[in-house]
Amino acid sequence: MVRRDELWVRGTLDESRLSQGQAIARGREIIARDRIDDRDLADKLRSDCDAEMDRLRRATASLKDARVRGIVTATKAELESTITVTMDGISVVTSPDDVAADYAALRRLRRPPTAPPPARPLPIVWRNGSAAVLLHEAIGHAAEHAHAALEWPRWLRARDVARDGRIANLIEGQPPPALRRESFRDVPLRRMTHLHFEQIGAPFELPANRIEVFLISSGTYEPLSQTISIDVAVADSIKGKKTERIPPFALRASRKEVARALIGATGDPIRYPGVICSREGQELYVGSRAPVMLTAVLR
Amino acid sequence: MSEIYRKWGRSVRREGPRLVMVDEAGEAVESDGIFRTRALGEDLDLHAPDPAAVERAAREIESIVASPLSIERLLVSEGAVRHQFGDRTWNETARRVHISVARGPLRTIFDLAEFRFENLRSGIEALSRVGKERRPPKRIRLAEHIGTALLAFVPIARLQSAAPHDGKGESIAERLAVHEPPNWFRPSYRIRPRRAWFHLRVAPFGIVESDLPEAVALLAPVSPREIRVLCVDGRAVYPTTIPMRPIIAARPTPTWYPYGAGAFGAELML
Repeated sequence: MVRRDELWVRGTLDESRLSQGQAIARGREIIARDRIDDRDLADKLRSDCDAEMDRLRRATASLKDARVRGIVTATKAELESTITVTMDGISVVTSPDDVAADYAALRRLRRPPTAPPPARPLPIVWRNGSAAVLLHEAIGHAAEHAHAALEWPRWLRARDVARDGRIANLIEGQPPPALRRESFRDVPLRRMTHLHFEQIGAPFELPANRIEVFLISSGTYEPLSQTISIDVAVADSIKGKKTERIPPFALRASRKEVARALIGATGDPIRYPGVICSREGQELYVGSRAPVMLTAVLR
Repeated sequence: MSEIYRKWGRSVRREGPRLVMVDEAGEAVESDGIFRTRALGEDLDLHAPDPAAVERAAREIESIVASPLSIERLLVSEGAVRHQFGDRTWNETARRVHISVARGPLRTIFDLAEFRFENLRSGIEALSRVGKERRPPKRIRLAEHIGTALLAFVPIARLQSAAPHDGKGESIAERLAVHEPPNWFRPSYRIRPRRAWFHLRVAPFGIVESDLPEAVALLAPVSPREIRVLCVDGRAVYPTTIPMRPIIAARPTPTWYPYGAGAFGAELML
């Protein structure tokens, strides 16, 4: 692999990293070093990586009021390019193709809170594809850990699609098909690649009083207790026709509670701008799509 | 002005069942506020760490953990490193152990810098006898490997210990850890160096009473507000959460732990 990693702060380059290396597995041993034996391959990966980083820089050149981190990784199997755009502590994770739209959306969403947190828990409408993060934790990580499948709503479909096209049905408890690693130094682990959540004929009735979630700052799955935690970064409180921005808040529930609370969905899957999944110290981008979804009160 | 740092390293790591051997060299250049790193891909003139020692340590840990306990995460490593900053060159070796052992919803975590496992044994033995959650005792003694994890958060006198080199090759002087640290910490060539206190040790005060209930294992990473621990109280063992409260006695120990830029063991009485 060859990787370029650059951090731009308000339009100025702050950090730049270039790394390369190879890992050879022999039985249970992995021999890794920061040189690629096959020179032709090394030249190709470096050239691919540089060309993609040029494209990434062009795509982000106009973002002068944000913190922008771009990472391009070239391997024999793939060329991956991710961009994290952060403004006022709120981030989206996107690609050169989508960065303009996602940056504009981030600017639109960035408003200070105008109301206190709701006095009591409310149903949540997960907009902007954000349900993909909730279900990434509750379904995806549970499948990675081979935890027993749960009874999810019949209208829900959950698939993880590897880059080579292999598909896992996560609802049935199939593990993600791909072994992935962050760098040549790391042990490959069974990890999610592209999550697609869909609904087929789901009910959906918008509650008059609700929270609408747009962006999430982090999510975790605790494998011992099988609980999930979600830190919501951007959300509105809706009371009848009144919409107010509320402060960031946290949710914690068991995955069984999430399964029970999932009561509706509508429309086609929406690309959620941003899941960098960290497990065993390895940070990997996971593509994420989910329709607008509705959960009953989660405490 | 440019600052150039180079690092050559060889390491062996047991991660779960896998044995990972990594050779790498890299350069970090800081110039006009921009931090740049690149792999050097050079041959290394460093002795290779001993995979057998790493394997033996990992197997010893695995032999300590028996059902109904299970190893959730096991990382055992040994590394040899050469650093160069300006015209200074220096070598280091390091051992690291990170282990988490689970029983039901409980997880004990240990971070060590030696292949000696007395504290691990006592923590795991306690976990095998654990009972139900209890309120924290009025006073508690924290074992050295737990007290040291708290040193970054607690408002007690701490000293930086002397050592030959920081992340920019400067010597590290013994001094009270107050105000801004004078030395630079560089855990990897890929990470921009930051100021940090090195090899912290607690200044002793009071008397740590040996007959108090003792916290023998961390059940979660420490936070500035509370610590979650496994407590041995007579014949009882229970998980408990202790809100951060004043420390009434402290005693340093000579074992070094890999928290931050390093810290020595600290038995604390809360």
